[in-house]
Amino acid sequence: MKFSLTLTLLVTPHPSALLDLAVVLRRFAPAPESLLWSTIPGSGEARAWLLVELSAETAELLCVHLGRIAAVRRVRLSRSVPPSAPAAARG
Amino acid sequence: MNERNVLRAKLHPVRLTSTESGEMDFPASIRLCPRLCWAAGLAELEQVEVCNLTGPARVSATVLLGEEGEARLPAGMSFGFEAGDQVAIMGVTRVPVRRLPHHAALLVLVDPERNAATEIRRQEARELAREPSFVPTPAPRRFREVRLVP
Repeated sequence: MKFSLTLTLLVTPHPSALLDLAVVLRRFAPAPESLLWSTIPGSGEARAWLLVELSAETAELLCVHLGRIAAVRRVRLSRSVPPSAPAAARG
Repeated sequence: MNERNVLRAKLHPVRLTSTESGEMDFPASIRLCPRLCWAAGLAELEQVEVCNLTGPARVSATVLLGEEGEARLPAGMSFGFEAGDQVAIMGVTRVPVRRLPHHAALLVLVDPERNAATEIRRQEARELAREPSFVPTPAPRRFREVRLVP
């Protein structure tokens, strides 16, 4: 099952944020299918969007472990539905 | 010392799976899924507030680690609660006022169907340094003195 994870990280007081993120991802998930990373200039924040294929339980565990990283301000887990899916499935 | 009671961790909304007492329960306790406790940083035997989101009931309880996806209030203290009710579980802490700007609460949003975390947020307390409607008066503009040379 594909899940998308949306993360907001504070990178300014936590320079090792990306490394911490990589460690957790490596421990709990295979390499993400997609990873978008953007830093917001002046705010010290970065946003990341990941697409991973995992079982529901592992995805929840990954979300919890990502939430425990001190640099992570917000992590949101949602089921990723492909655009080709029927409208009812997309909600 | 000047301290405030502030929110430290919140689980919301958790579905109560049972309101019956187990053998190992003691009064004024709530059995919670260990993964949810870990996500919110709640320790076993920590005191939490349990608020019913579908009714007016609110109790103080002690956290006990339970089964996966479990949220059970024992019968002795479940007045106003029923199995299937959605509750918010809040842990509070005392923080010195000077540490308040550095305090962050951990908010865990839960899927009530499975009692599994779907979103985790850290929320920092914003400091009100001055009255919110206060608008500072603009500084007077200074004109450069120009001397006309005759």
